[in-house]
Amino acid sequence: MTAYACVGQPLPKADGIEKITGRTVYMHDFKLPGMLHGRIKFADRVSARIVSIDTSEAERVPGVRAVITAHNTPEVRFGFLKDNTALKKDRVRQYRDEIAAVAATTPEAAEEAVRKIRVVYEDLPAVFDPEEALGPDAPLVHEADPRGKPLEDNRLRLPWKVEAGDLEQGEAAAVHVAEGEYDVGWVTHCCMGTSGCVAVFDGRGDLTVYSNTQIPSLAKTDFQEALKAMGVRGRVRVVNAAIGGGFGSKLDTYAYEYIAILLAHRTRRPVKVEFDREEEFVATSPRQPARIRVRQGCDADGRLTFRHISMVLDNGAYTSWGATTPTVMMMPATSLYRVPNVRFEATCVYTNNTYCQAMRGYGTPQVTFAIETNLDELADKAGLDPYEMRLRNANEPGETTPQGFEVTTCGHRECLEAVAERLDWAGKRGQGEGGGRKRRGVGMACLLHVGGGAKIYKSDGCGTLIKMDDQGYVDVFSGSMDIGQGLDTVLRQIVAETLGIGTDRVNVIVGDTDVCPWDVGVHASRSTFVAGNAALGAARMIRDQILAFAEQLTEAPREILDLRDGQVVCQEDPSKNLPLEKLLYKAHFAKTGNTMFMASHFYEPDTRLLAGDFKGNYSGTYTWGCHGVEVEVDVDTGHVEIVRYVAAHDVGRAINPLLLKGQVYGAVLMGIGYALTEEMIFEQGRLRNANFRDYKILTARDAVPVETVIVETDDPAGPFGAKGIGEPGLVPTAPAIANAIYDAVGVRLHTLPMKPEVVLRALLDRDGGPGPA
Amino acid sequence: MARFAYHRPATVDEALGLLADLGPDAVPVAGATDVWVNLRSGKLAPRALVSLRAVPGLAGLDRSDDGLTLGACATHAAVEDDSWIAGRLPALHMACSQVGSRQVRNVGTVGGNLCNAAPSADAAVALLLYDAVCRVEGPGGGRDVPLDGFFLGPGRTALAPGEILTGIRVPVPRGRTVAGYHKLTRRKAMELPILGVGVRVTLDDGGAVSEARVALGVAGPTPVRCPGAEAALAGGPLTAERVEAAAETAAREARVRDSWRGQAWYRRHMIRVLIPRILLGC
Repeated sequence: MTAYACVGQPLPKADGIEKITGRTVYMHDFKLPGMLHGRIKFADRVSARIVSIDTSEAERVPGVRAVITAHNTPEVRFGFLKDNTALKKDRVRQYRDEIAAVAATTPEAAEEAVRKIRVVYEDLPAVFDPEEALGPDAPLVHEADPRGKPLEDNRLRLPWKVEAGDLEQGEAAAVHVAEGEYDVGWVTHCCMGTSGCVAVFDGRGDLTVYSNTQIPSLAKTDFQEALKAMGVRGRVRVVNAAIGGGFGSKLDTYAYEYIAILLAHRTRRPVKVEFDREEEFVATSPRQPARIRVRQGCDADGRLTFRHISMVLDNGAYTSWGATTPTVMMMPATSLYRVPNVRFEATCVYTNNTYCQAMRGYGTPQVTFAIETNLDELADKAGLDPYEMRLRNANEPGETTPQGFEVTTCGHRECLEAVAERLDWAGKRGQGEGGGRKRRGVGMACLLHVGGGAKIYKSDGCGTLIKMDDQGYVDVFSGSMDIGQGLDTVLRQIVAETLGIGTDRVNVIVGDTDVCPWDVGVHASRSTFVAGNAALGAARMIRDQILAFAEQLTEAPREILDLRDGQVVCQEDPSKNLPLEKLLYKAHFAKTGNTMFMASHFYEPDTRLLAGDFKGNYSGTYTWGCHGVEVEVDVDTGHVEIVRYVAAHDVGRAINPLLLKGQVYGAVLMGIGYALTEEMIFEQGRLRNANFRDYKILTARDAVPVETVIVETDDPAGPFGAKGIGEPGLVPTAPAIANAIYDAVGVRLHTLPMKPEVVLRALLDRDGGPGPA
Repeated sequence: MARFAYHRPATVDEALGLLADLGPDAVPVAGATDVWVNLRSGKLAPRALVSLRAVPGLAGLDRSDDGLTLGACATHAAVEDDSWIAGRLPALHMACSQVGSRQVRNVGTVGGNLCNAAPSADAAVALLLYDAVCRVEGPGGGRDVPLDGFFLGPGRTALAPGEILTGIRVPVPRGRTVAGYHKLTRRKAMELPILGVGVRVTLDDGGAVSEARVALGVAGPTPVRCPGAEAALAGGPLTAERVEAAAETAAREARVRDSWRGQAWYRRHMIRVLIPRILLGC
């Protein structure tokens, strides 16, 4: 592949020094003059009619400027199905339901006032198990849809079903079949920076929301709609503070943002609402739980003949993006490995649990756990080495998958081979059984993910503006957002490379809807690919403008001119080389006809929205990976220790290998947490472990070294060949570990997290050990 | 968080005077790592905190041939960093080294760990193994309370109103000793134990067990000793049979319960596994 000056360099994060020296302004540091502090009164019951709300005592707390409820504010509806309201009027459906809110001059006064709000409830029946919620006598979480049409059951009217080939024929052709049910629970993003925003109206009624959203443009649209509902005629600007982690948690707008807007409108003052850690756990939306049934089969040679996946998802009480994750789960379900006959169906169910959202992987960690664990079981039945089984079914470049994904580049096989070699798969597999209290085993699992955006919205595009000033400094205004993933740095590299200048000359501006063009948001591992292509397109236009100008100055034909090392280089006659500074001076300060170098480019991937049958090519390219892990299982305690971890990813091209590895390290650790330690424990809808003592996110001491293997397939659609890598790094972690545990001690685990007591229980049950009593 | 006054007395007498004057609305604190969480959550709203950190001598470690006297304000980190303690009182060293994180151990104190009287107190389980004695000062003078009788229930100790813990005397076992503390957790830092298991066995010159101590955390309302298991260990040589019998007895007698932090069967089973592991390394 071509070598580049900036692209491919392991540059440290552009924002790194500001962050580690504490100078970055996060939402928690952000203040405006006269700003009030908002706080929310959440429900005390999980399912109840609100009989009355008494705010009189709260209003008398010194410093309180406003107390709002659904009774004294306009109704603001939001969410994917518009089944949620900013403040609840007569009914609560989950413990995080917002009943009232206070704005006060200090956070303490706001807190005290919230404590003094008295709510009288009349309890209603509740339902917490999604399968029970589907039963005929289950209490209805919503009696009616947002338009008032009565609902008969708790099933969401979302038709998640895709089918290709002939499942029955695939079944008939199968010699070996594996079937299983896999249960995965809630986990949450654990962003270091908790959620928060500041809303402020100016004298004209225009609203600015200082936010940490992952979707500045869509949030603007959402807030604009809220203004309409409030009868306010102003316009909206969304400005982002630095974001202390997103991972999908900030992919939707939340009630607290609308509440800040309502409070700001009521008080005519800036109002900040920010969550403390407990609120962050309780009142943001986690990755959704699923009960997944997998049945797949292969012929005598181990080639997959069919795969059938059905699942029930606990949607919680309202609908956010979580309910749409099946549209992405379909991807590995139908297209991870070559499997001709597939069916996938998913049912989302209302319950009185917390409602769910996007979280890194967008459903694929759940479904990949089921597919890849089940595939190991199938390999076992077929008497095949799971690695061999995977190689035989690996995806190939150029194929079109049953769901209609048009594969261009594909490094699936290379990733598999890299893991097997690094891990010494042949030498280590199957050595675990035997004596000793600690037994080692190896396991692997693969992933398929979108690598070139995902068209799940009517546009999957991103706009970018670039201007170059008279001294050669470049400002890049991207519609995308840096949420810590390093977009800022990657865009610098792409633009600097294209313009033949140093990355120190490039400044990236994101997160201000008054200044930056439209973008659908930071999700689907799309930013390097989509925002990168948008920046690349705009940078190329600037480059053309500069070279066109240089043609006039040098009288050398454009075809032999190039931009490199801060100058216009004439390939045939170096004496005609022209420092960029000189050219810019001449362009900007000519007596007449001054030239400005500015360009805008909107990049829309050449992809399709999934059709009614959920088929179509919805990403610009696809990405593969394989993770391999060696574990040591203590058979007396059930404790699983990770001995080695190899993560191989087809990344198209590493624009910045340092940041790329950082993405993989972080994702793998998040994946290990999902696999082994993390769980949100809900009892009757109440989250018991809303703190870092009891929610077991891995600590620095639990971190394991991750060996990353970068497989470069140089994708023709990617900027400089790159594919997305934001999410893939955690998708196959849990099944790789589950498969390694099986290799070590011979038990199959179908639930997450595989905490010591779960592993131990499985071992005891198999060996006839003491029962749970 | 409610407002409170913050007092920093310079002597024990001054501290006792303040506590007497302020009455039940004052809470004595050292590292305040437990108290602060409760203040923030609103579970505790005292009018005053009386910090013992400025009292000279209360944070000291006094080592002698007889044993260790820990000032009540000695931090977990001070114990962790002390090689004398690591050599002579290894179970205490293990327990203190695993509390929270290094940052928490730099602030949190052993005395605070005892006075907080959580069933999960790591240091408490280890100190029970060594027959530690608490030194208590109060308006009526000083008294010694054996740690075995110090815990009355979750969050409740033998301290009377106005009394403070000033030190802990920890005798060093005489004779060949095996001792250890195992903190059962899911991750490697920032954890409360799902179960804490401490065992000490001291042998006489003939190789027979002359003293046996078994103590458990999160296996009852307070950190507790297991007399039945201790009896099963004592009296003869330290054999695998004896150890297994002790483990079985401890598992049977433990008042473990089901909670969302851990299930009773798991805790019980792990008592059975961990006691032999500490004593026999298996």
